[in-house]
Amino acid sequence: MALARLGCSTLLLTISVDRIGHLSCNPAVGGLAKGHMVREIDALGGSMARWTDAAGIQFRTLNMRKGPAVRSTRAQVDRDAYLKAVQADVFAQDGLWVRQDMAEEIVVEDGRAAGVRTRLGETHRTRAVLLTTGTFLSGLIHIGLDNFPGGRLGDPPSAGLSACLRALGFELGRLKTGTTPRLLRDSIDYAQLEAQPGDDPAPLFSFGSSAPALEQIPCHITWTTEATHAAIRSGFDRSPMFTGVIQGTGARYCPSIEDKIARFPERGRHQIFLEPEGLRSPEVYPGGIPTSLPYDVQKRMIATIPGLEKVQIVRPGYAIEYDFVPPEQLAPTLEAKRLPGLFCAGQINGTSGYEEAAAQGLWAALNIAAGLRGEPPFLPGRDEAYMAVLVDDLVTKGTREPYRMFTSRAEHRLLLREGNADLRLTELGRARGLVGDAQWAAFTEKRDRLSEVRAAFERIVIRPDAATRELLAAAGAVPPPAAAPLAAILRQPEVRIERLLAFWPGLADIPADVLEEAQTQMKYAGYLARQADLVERARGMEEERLPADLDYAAVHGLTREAREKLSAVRPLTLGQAGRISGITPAALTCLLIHLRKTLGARRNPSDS
Amino acid sequence: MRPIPRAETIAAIATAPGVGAIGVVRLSGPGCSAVLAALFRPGHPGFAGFSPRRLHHGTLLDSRGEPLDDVLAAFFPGPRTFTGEDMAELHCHGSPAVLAEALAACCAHGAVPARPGEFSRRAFLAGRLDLTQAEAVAELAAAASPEAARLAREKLDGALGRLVAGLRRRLVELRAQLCVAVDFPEDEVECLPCAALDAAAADVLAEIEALCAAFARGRLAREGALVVLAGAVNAGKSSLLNALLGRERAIVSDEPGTTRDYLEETVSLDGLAARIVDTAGLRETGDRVELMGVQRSRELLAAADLVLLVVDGSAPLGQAEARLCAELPAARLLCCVNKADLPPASGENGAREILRARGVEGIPVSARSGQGIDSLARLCRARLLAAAAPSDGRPAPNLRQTECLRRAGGELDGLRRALAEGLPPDLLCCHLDAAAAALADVTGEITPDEVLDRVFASFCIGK
Repeated sequence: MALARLGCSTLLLTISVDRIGHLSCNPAVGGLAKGHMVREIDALGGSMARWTDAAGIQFRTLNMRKGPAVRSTRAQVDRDAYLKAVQADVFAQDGLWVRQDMAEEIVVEDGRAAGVRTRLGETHRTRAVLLTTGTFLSGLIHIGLDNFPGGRLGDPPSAGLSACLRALGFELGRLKTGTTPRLLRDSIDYAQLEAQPGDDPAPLFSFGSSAPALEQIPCHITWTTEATHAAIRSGFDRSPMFTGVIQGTGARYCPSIEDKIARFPERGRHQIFLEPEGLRSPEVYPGGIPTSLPYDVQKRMIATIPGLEKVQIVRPGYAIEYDFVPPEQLAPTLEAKRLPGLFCAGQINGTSGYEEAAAQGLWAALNIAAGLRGEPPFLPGRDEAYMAVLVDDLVTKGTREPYRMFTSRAEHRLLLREGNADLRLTELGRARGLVGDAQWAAFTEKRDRLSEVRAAFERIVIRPDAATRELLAAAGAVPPPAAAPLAAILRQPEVRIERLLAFWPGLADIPADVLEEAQTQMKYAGYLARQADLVERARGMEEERLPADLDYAAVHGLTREAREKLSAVRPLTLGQAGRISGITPAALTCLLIHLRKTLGARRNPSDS
Repeated sequence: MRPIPRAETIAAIATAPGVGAIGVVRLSGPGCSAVLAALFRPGHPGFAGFSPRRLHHGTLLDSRGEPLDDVLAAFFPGPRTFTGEDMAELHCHGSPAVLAEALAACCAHGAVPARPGEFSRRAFLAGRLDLTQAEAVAELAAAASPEAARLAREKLDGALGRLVAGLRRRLVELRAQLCVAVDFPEDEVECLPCAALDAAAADVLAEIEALCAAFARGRLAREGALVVLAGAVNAGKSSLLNALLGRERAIVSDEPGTTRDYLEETVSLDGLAARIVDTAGLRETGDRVELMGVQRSRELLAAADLVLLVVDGSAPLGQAEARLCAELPAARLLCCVNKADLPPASGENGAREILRARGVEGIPVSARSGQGIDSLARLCRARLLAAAAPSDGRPAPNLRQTECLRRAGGELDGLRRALAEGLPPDLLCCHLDAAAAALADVTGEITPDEVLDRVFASFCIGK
């Protein structure tokens, strides 16, 4: 999608055109760190936020009271509405062609990927190939001890491509993920369940959205019981996970319910969110109980859950194993190091989650377009975007389990807020040609209003005289010992920006998102400055580029382990080299010395 | 991974360890002029700022702002310096105590102790070393990796490493708690309440402060041991001090009670630096000034690493000395039987007999002739080294490690203040991350993966 919008003629090859925009797992977008990435995608001009806003049936802000950086938006979406929104855009996009066929082989010419050959015998010649195989690459579905090939329940796997990748010299790994059974909505007894409504007003993802497009409905909450756990235990001997049938590695943060019961036997109950699959969908997704237990055990276990006693399972839960390309084999542009022109994004790189996949898709698209136009690659830093943390982690450290984004993965988390995603990235998106005029105009307006508020808060000085004291008390503020700018009053823990209207009437005209961001920037200025300072300190390392053809065997003083790791990853910068596990400061010093020696000492020592 | 600390100002004692005539503390980095401005008080009234590469005379202040030493100081503006950065040199008197204090003062004003080879490394990076020299630095770095690994291992096997690693583990534990609180808002796991977080932080902070205190006690390595001279008035304490110093320092007279205040000198005891303090003599007195001197003597005796009890071998042992022998633990007491050049007092009141009976070691010396002074110095050194273990059993960190610990302590302080202000968990994490990073400078790395590993091991997480 982004590639076509960037002006590249793009062919979208898919096993099933009907499934473009289909959400394979839970009908939800966003959540911690994921919501951040959806906002980043929007800030860059990508589509996911707009699709989610068009299909959302419940929006919530998580972590409202846990700090500005970890506040995150999450939405339940109507699966059909999402799919329709995606497909409408895809088919309306100029320069984007859609074909239902299966890519089986990558065409290689002069050491570059030059197109794909398909199941139907077609050869499509292209200047770049982007693989987004999801869980389809040699997918194998497990329900109990029964297993069969598939890319998703009801869809065939992608068969030939694994062999082709191996033949091209790629190492492949195997991962596992799981999903829950889907329940018939009308068979659920909602009367005994707690409802969880969305927030009002609904927090949306796109900086350009104003109100949800669809009716808003609640989720419901229920819990497993000891009887559920007993039913689950009775199926342990037929679990493909515990009997070793499943070889792929699952994610620790997304364990199956049987895994939770086995690992935390002391917990008496586990929470289940009953997420509607859509406004009119007959199915419900019970979040929290992914399982690959045999179907009969699934039925018995579900019947022990309050509200689900008479429930009918429409589709069983299952586990799926699939191939991935361990992402250390990719450059930070997501281009394969051993085969220029081939890019990979999404689960093929070992990640899990729609948002992680979308972020990589956009990242790869921007880099493919940059490469074709002869522009510098699109490589924002870890202090600029979660998607940069994601890609850097993948290509630098690889992953052994399906990789999900967490805010704790970002060392400069305070700088990476949902609220400032546009301030971080929209200029970049504009420069790359993905941010349209309307979005740009709205962004510059917001930026101007923000500086206006900040300037006013520095300009207006509060003197603690009698009249002011009363106003301050009304705003929940303590009078300052001496005259102080309004910004200093705002830094008091109890003070909220909207209560300072009396001191600057201009506040009344400022939109809520600008107020919120201005408040965060001023209230936490000290902490933000501290993190910015840490970023600045590391900047030298990040800007120290390592040549692509650097011969690590010739670097004096490196240990064999360091040599092997550096040769495998081929980091772009000294900073990236330092994040490879097992690369010590001493090894970095050796590298730096080698660089200076081979490239010649710098003319101006103050640069170093 | 720590960034290469380009913005840091480093400081180190540049002269060889031990007592010399002159000792130099060298600094490099952008903070040199700030350190000089904070610590150097010019001696010349016409001083109008540092002329580049010129020596200026003045007073060096210690970290508390008290005069420390009479020094020559020079400022070398970058980039035409060894490291390419601003540099400064402080030429002090060559006592390890003074130099250690000067280095600590620099660190109190923003410098950090330099790692081995760091001046050379910076010089190389600034293009100030040629290829051959560069190879030498590379060798150093190469040697440093197995060596560093070995040292790190040893440190981790050692008591300090174990302690700091334990503290860091507790911080990772707390960080995991906050990670759960913010990264898994929809999981029904219980998070640490603020009060428990505060208590845990206070606990770790107390440990860190105790370690910093152990550093302060680790004087022996840092600034030399404290040796106190005690004895009856006119037993010859001042003469003995002078004999150890090899020059006249104390006012020596036969008039009893000349040394009213105490005198302090740094001497080399067979290569080991020690501060030797001469006290007012032990006697009951009605003179207020001298009474204060006696009081001060008692405090010094209590703080001393070693007490040298000077007795007059030609006279009977007095009651005050006998009481001192009884009060002080034998391990901290060494007896100099002075005036060995005079005929000894004999009989059951003779000093040697009494000391022998009490099991106190007595060395015959003559402050006047110099007899026995060398063996006294050797014996002092052996005693001090044997007693070097810090008193509360905590291992003493070195200056660099203590700086790391202090940084960690400062962050935990910040964490507790932020908690009291009711700041949200994502900001609390900043303090915890910084504290853990500071401890990691002592023991090794902490990574986000480590926190997540902790989370997945301890909490039932995930949908």
